[in-house]
Amino acid sequence: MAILLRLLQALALLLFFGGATAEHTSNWAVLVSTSRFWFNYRHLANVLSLYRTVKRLGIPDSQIILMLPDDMACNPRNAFPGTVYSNADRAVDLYGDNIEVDYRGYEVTVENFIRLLTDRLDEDVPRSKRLGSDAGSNVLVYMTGHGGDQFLKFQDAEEIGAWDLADAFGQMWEKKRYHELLFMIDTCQANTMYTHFYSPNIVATGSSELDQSSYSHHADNDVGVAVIDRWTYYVLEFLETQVTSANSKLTLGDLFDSYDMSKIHSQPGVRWDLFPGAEQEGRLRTVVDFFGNVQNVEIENANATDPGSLKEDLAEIARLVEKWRKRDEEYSAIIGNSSQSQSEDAQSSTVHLKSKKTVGPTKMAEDSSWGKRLVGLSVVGACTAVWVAGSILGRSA
Amino acid sequence: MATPAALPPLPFNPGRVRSYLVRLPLFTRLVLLVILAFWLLELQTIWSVVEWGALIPNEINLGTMYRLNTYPIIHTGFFHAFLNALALTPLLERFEAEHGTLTSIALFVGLGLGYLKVLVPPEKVLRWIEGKLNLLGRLPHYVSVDQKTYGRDYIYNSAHLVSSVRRKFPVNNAELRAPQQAGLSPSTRRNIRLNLLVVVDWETSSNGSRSMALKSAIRNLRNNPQLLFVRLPNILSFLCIVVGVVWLLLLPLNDYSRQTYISENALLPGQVHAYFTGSEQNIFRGYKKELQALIQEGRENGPQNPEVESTPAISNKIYSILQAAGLKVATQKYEYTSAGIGYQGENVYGIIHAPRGDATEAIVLVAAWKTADDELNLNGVTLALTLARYFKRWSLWSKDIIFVFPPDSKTGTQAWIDAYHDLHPASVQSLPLKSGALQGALVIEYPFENHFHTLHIVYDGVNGQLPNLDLFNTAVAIAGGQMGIGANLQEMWKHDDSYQDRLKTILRGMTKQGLGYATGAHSSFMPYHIDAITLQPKGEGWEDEMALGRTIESLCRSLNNLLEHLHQSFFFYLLMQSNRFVSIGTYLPSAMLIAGNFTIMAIALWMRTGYYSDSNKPSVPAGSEGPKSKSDQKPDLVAQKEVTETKTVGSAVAERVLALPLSLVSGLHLLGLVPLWTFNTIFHQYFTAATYIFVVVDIVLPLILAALLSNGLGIARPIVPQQYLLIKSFALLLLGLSLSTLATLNFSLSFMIGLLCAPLSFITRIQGPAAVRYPISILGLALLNLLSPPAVLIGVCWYTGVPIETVLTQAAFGWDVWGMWTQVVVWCVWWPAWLIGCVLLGSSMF
Repeated sequence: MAILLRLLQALALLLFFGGATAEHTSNWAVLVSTSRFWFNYRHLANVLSLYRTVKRLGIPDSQIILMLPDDMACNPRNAFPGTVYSNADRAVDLYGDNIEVDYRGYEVTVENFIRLLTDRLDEDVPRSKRLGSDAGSNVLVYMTGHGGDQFLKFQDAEEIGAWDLADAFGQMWEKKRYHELLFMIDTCQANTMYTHFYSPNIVATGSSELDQSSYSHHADNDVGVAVIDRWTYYVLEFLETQVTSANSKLTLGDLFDSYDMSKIHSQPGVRWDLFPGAEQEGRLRTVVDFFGNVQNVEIENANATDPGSLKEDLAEIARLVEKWRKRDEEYSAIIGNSSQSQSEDAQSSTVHLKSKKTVGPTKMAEDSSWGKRLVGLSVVGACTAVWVAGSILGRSA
Repeated sequence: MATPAALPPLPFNPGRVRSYLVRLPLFTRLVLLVILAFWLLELQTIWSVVEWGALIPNEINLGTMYRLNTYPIIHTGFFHAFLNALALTPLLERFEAEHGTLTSIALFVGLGLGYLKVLVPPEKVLRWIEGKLNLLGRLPHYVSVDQKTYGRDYIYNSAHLVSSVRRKFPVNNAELRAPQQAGLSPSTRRNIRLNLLVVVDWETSSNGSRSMALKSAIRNLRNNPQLLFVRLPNILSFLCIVVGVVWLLLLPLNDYSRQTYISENALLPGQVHAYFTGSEQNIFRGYKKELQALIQEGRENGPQNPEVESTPAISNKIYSILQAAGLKVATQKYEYTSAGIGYQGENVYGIIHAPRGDATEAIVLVAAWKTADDELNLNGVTLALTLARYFKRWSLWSKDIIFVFPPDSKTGTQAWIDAYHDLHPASVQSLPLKSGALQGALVIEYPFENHFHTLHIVYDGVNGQLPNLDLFNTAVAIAGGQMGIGANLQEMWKHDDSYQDRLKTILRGMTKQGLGYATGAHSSFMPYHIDAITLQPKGEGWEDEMALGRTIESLCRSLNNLLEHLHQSFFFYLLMQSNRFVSIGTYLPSAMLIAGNFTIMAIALWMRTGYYSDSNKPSVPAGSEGPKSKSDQKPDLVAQKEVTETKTVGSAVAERVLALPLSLVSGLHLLGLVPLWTFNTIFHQYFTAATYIFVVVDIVLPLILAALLSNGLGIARPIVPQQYLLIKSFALLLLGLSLSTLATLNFSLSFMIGLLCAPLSFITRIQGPAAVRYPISILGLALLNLLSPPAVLIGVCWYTGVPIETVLTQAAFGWDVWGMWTQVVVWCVWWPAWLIGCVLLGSSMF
């Protein structure tokens, strides 16, 4: 037993030193527009622009989940059928000839989105609708639509809350579905959406603060609607003009430094505190860590002690087994003590819960009221003392 | 005001309120006093009481625990404090009386709330201390001598009273509360009561002169129900009318009106380029020439055709142009008859099917051959034809676009829209070609040749229905913002945004709404809940037909963006400027107050008719007995009945005689159907004569009715004075009911009728010597006759210079074709109420 414990200690030490690697092995992107209707053309254009960028930087369609709730290209109101543009110069047709929409129309729901992130999907759901990320994947999540304080509207019918999103990411972390995660959101009061995140290794950025609107950048007078939002427009401007290849060394710090409030007309926000090493470390991550694609192969090493390796799992299981066994013993000991006094033959090899003692009505004791009062008084006194102590300590701190 | 009927006593005893306040127990007083004190303290600005004493979780620490006790007695404002005190007083007072002052304190300051529960002494101890201190006995308080007979509050007591009673009868408080249990005989109880009354009298007489004045005022109020039941309703009614009118006059101010805004996100007005220019102008000129040639031809060939009349040749031309442009085209013949005049014509219409749409929705563009003012709308029709050709070539329509070309603005659209919904009469043909649900309609009028300056937007529908404000706002936004053309409304060509101009605009809008007639081809769409406006170029400027065309193109693009029927913005509003309005929530109280004045008066009259005064008892055979005779029969109950008797001294409950008033009022309302039928059925050439005849009828009919009523109609007994009041009550009740209902549908009509009927609230049968009665009633009748429906019609026609015949022909046409119901309100609501007013006044002469 003692040997086993020592072994576990050694394993834990190894784990601690071996876990701090920053390499990732694949890239995934989840791009979500949440609003339908013709006058929300720009939200689709936002997402499609991002889609185009991540594809350009190397993430393949199979690793991009694109969610579009409406079909602007084929809307009868579209003066240029079959196209979507995010700029009035109409230089780039975002719909182009090579686009793969994974969730469309009424498939874009909060439930589907959360199921996608946490991989709680039926077996028959095709691979194209699954986020196949693992503990080595860097995931980019981009969302846009109409939102408010800690919620984002989906399709005029439902909304996702900041806690829902935080829990989904939390579960992703528990299920080892990402290595690092970049969360971007462009909506009114966007920064409120990432306030509740709690799982590690997340960098979050949004377009506007609490009580601020996110504005559209410009309208196309022939299409007749606004075609892109400001924040997305300037993020894209950076990505398109600075990050020209998958080998770009520009960092997230450079990207966030490029935010210009006089252009965006709202206060963009960034959240670093969940990232190991916080801002200092996070700023050094390159943009292509999330927008580009790496295809590192990790060879399953029999001696590896990285997260997810066989050894680590075995050690964890051993620890659990030990823990449960201990608990079981304690439990049976307690049960044994209580049943011993009642009958000897009840002490069989298996443990049963045998509490057949009938509970009769309890007589309310009135005589002890003074005693109770005394207890109450002392409790209040103790609480007051704690309170006073707390106030004094709190003041000095 | 002399009335034969006496009045019921006040429903409450003002003296009792005072006595209630004087007898509040100790702690209740203290709490009220503290609340008052804190409220007064909060009035100064240096130190915020609320900041100091409010219950703010973050502020609670050992030094600020007082907040747990101060927060219930600190309030944020007068009404907060007042209403809370009002709710607290009866509960706390009752509680304190039941459980004692100390218990109340213990519970109120939070000992009972739990956080200091351990400190509470046992209840027995509290009771014992309470008994020793006699806290309740220190102040005057209520003592129920006999709760079953007199109720809890009947007789009040005071400190010296208690002591005096104590001296005479060795009983304690508890026994005073329940004398029966204490074994007092009924006679002893009587004695106690008598003594109490004596002491009370002594108390009142010995008080200072200041409180004497107050008390006498209260007593006067109590003894003078005349104030409550005769004068107060008059004052209230009058106030309602005045406030209602002043309310309307306040609406144009900035504080009461609002800037318009686009509610519907989908509309996106003015976000698209309009490309209707250049070569389209050549097409326009070509079409115009073709139409002009036909007009010339018609003028030469048929002298019977006035030049603005549409001919079959013109119909055919429009048909062929639309067909050549690639539209599906159809025609519809219709025929109407009203007031002996026949109207007939043929609508031509074409449909552009949305190339990529699903054909479930459509927009309508209307260009009538004749405008609403019977002018030739040549440019309008040509523009619509050019637009049809132009729109056909766009592929971005999500809705079908229907172009309708009726021969005139009054009948054609009505026939078309009725048939579109399969609700047309037999004389109107069905539509061979239809599209989806109509989402909006625009009417183009351009009846002159020169370039224009501004765009006049007409939006009033039949029966005062209005299109959604978003449609109007979109038109203003596109005309003003995108095209740089100013927008006008209600013929206000020079609007300087002053109070006067705003009020004038509102009043013009209200007049049109109140009269409820169709102001243009767009009006016919409103009953089908299709939002529609007419665009009329006005003035001398440099905008040409292309600018109007671009405006319409942009408007159509906005409507094309719609995903649902216009619903976001207001349907009930008053516009005072192209960018300022008041919504129903703000303006409705105005008409409601005026309608309410009749109801108030009706209810007051109803209450008055239930009682007779002492002096009138002999003259009234029935109903005056009641309690008195009963008490005579049962002398053992005298003691108890005494109370009721003193309460109702000077009056008695009377039976209301309802049969005659009810049948008269409902009969006269039904009689309204006669003029309603007459004025909508006879030939138009008799309208003027009929109006004058009706003026005479209105003078004579009330007098005849009054005479018949006063002389008992020959069959029944003469009418008693109470019945006059009941007649008036019912008439006003119906009037108030109808007008307040109407106010929610057609605010302006309700407001106008309400104002015209306002004198009816204050008209009554005049009594007194003949020398006074006759002149007053004759003068009153003369004045009232000036306010009769036909007299008002004649007056308005004389003032505006429009012939009576034209107005009535239009009205009859509205009734027959548009489904207008202004007449129903005039003849079945206003006229009967007016007639009853005249009968009441006339009856004072017989």
